[in-house]
Amino acid sequence: MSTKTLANGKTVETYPLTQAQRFMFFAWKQFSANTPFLFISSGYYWKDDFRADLLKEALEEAIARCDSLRIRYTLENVNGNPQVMQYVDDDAETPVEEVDLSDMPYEESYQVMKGWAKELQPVFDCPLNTIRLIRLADGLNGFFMKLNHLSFDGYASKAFIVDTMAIYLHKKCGTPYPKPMRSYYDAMMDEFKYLDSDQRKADRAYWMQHFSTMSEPIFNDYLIAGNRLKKAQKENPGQRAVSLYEGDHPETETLTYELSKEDSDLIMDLCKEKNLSVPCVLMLGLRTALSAFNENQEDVSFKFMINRRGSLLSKKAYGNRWHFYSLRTIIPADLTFEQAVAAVEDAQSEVFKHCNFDTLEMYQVKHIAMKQGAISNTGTMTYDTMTFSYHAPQEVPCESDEVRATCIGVWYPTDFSAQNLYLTIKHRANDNGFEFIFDYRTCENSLEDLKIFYPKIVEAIMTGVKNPQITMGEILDIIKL
Amino acid sequence: MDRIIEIILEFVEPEEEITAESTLKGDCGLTSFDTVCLIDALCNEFGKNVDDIAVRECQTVQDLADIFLD
Repeated sequence: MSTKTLANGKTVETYPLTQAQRFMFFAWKQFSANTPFLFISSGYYWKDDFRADLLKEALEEAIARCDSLRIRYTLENVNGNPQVMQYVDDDAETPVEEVDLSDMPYEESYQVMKGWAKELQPVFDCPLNTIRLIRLADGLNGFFMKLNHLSFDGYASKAFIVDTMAIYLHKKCGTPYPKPMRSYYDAMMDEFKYLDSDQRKADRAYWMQHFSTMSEPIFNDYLIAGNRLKKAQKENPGQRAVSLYEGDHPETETLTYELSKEDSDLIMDLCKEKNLSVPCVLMLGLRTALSAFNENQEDVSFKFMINRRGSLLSKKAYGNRWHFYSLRTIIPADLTFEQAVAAVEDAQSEVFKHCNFDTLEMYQVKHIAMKQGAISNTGTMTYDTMTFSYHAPQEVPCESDEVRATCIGVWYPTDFSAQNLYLTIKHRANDNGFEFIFDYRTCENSLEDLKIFYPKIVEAIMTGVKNPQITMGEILDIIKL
Repeated sequence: MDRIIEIILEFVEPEEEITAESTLKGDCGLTSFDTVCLIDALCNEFGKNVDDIAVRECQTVQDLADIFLD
């Protein structure tokens, strides 16, 4: 910890980035520099007898309850080297501006707001966040947020929406005022405590042992004609990892698919009935499709995002807590769908137990420990074909079922990504159905193959959901290319 | 049992009061990640090492109590 004197003469304590922030910063600098990658933009809109005055008050109160909006970043000279530091500026304000886009069609207003998301902006010693009260066509109203990604991950961004709407409904309908949020400072201090803890030593030892004793994984491509491992194996038949980034082209496009409410409900109902994990069912579908694309390979790995929000402090203190880990499963054909979900959950739980150990350190340990010498960092050689994240539902308070049916939650992509292919699965705001969002780097991905990939994921999931005792071999026969 | 419920409340803020019959995922709203963290906290509290599979099969707060208060 050190101190900094701000322009207004106030002295604040400054702290290094947490490990999760360091990874985000590294990914930006390494894979996506000079892009708006460090900002995350979203919007939430609905139709009701709209009270702009109350929403503005609600936003201002939610802003006051959110330390993360007052985090600032600065460069400090540490032993002659610039180091990124953070501090909470209690006086920092996030004004709520009102913007009326109701005179243009929804699609046009979407493009306007996407333009805001894509605007480059500075990161150090300056305001970082934009929150706007928005009026859209056809009676839709709500708010747009462009938040700094070092201070907010997807979970935190959604948590802000939940808090704002709870306050809005309290003001408009007299519902209970939401419980207090938690201190970002306390959550940050917890992260720093871990760095000197015995638990971190134990986690490091676990990963060292794990990587030094495991068999070599294998890359499973979602590209059909352009299968990168098969290409590499022509030169080197024993190769099992590939290099994904041959050039620095972070430009992406987004492909979004909506799963019907009926099919989404079938998945949720099965998980409830059989006490299964929803993300594990989804990840089983993903790894089964990857298997089908690679001659029914039983050994499949991809990266998955863990937002590490278990305690109430971590859930309610906003911030960015993302760590990325490889999820490797070896699932034989004779396992039933239900058994395979349990196998994915076992693999996931094993990672969860040691996931406070940060992503960058984990790459280093992997490099030291793996017999094959592969680094398994996406920037070099990797077995992890793509990245997956599941955004668990955080229920946004709503006035009535009629209003709920009109709610829209929107992400505004920046069209730049540090990841080659990133699948996010989240729940729609109006009916809780699943939305599959593929962010893909245009230079390295075949859109045609992705359009085959998605239906295979869904077919694998729904086949298993409708018959949990079916074997994985039978599912692979059904979804084969 | 009260201590188990207190520890669960370090992870979730359910609408309804938690009882022995409350289901972990449904009534308490515990995610898979919450559950891993909760088990870790319960192991520390009660000085036990428990089998992952036994925990995964726990449906209710009472099931957890059967393992940790045994």
